[in-house]
Amino acid sequence: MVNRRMISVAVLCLCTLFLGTGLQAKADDVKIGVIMGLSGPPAIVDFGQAALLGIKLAVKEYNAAGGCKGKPVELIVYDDEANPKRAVELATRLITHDKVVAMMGTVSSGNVLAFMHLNQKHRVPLMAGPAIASSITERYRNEPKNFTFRGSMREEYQITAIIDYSIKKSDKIGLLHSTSGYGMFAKKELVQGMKDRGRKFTAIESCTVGAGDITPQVLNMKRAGVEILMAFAEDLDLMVKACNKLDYHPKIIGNWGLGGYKMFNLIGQGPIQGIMMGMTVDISEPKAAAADKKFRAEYGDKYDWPAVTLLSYDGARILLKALDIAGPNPEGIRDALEQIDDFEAATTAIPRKPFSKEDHEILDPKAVFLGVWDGNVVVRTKD
Amino acid sequence: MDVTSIVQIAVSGLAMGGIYALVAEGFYIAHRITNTVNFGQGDFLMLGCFITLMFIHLDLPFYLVFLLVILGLAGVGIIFERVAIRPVARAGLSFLLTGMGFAMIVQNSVVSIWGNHAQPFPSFFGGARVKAIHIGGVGIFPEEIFIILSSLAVMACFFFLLKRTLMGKAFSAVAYSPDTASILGVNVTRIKVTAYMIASVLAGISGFLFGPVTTVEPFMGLKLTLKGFAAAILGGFLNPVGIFVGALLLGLVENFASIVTSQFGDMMSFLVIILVLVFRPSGLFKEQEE
Repeated sequence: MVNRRMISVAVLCLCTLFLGTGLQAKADDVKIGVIMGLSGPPAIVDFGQAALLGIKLAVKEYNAAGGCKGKPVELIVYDDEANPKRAVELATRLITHDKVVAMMGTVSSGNVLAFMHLNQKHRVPLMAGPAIASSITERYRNEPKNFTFRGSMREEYQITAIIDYSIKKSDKIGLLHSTSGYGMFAKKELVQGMKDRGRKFTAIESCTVGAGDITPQVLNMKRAGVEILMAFAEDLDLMVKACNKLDYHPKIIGNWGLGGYKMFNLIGQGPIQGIMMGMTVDISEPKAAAADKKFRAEYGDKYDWPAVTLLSYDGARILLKALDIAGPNPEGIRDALEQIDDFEAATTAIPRKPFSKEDHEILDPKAVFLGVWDGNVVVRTKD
Repeated sequence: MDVTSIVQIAVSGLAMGGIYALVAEGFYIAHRITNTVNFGQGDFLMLGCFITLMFIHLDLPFYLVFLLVILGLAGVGIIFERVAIRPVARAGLSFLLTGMGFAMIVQNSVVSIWGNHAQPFPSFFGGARVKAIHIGGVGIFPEEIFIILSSLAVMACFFFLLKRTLMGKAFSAVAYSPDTASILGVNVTRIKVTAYMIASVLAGISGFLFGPVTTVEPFMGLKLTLKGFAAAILGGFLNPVGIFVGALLLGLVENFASIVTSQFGDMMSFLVIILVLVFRPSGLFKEQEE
């Protein structure tokens, strides 16, 4: 009886093994690994899903155009669940088991910072994003070869734009940040940014992620006479509700997370008017408008965060261009990324030569501007 | 601080406290009757929010939505007791694991159906979003007044049920001794199922009330479970009046602590709870005698 059972288990294991082998990618495929936050807190998932749309379309177009010297590129997508430990496990798997030639991702900066040493150690290029922490591209900056690039927004760029605008407009500036990793990190950079310009926040308030109500924090802002309220928290709709409750109408400026249609739907078309954010994509520009139209046709309502999707799209496209130049050779791809000087991006925020040995950011810092909700689109601020 | 600000904070704190009270009373009834703790209470609240939202989108009148939420959560309570509590009733603390497992299933089901996003929630009083009214410089959402009054009304019904009805007496009998209650003709299993049904319905009502004024998303439950549990501990876990007062106090302490400093998140309110428990280990109110 026992022997029969053991034989059955062994047969089952073998079947699973063969089935698994059958499901794996063909050996000929060139593999690009993607680690993305696709489950967990909604703020993470919104970013992850938007970024993945851009990456998927870039690869689809690339394969339709013939792929890498006739071989299709296969995307291997793993969900890190916004968990740094899992992100490290997945990065190890992508590099050592899946043998990817390059990697992209993820949403949480903490996760990228946790696994990026593997890319450096195994010499596999990483196009980080939509992770935003400025330090991501700095860590290996002085190494002979830095394998980390960013195909997304850099926090420092939008913070610079936000602070420069705010200090021109008012002396009464407040900061509301969350106590999440991102919120604390943003606070540090903002406080330092203000200090570098010889200024201080009039009031700083914090809130936990998932707080049911933040009326006290907003009331403190009102009592301090804050005229410009910088918002770097996940529950921004609660802040807008509290402002409404307190009949308090500061100018609200936040990160680029405020520029997506999920936020638009959550806060509502009326209350969101005039809310500003760091932005990279101006949909009214012809190039971006054409890309925007293409994504709407491809994904319909799923495409709800143009800035994140279009930047990821360009991040993936430049990686694929480097693959075209170097072939499926990870170190060659890294080198090619630094040399490309004829990149035709989907948005004007990205120069023809995005990367160099010293600069691993895809964005031109001068291209980051302050966007504002006007009707149902984000436009460039006029003042 | 001026009087207007104090009143403003108190009103917001009482509204939050009202929500905590409904969650916390769910802990009470389930624990009292079955000697278990349901750590899915917050997720049942979240489910209440999403069911409310689903029926609102079908353009049903609010009273009908309210009834459907009660029915839906009563059903969930029955299923919960049957699949996650009863099978492990004699297995020590296993109910904690099965309860949390059930809550995770609820969370993931909500994510599968509605997506993993925060959801816009319309006002009960018309319009796509809540609109504040201002009285003497104090702003309040009509929904918050609704929360405070409804939580009082629900509590009154709850106390009436416990103290003035035959079922309330049956609850007391089962809480005191299930075997004796059984000998006296009480259907102990049915009473236990009813206890879980009531706990779920209380969570569902709090979800119905809370949705318009907060951010509704699939993972909002855990924090409310912790707050509800903290409120129950603060008030005295086995005293429904104490739990109600404890929940309102927790809402007030949270809000006033945030006015003093918000830099420590929830730490200040939990610090107050710890201090209370140091001096009164059984909570602010003693166990109510049956």
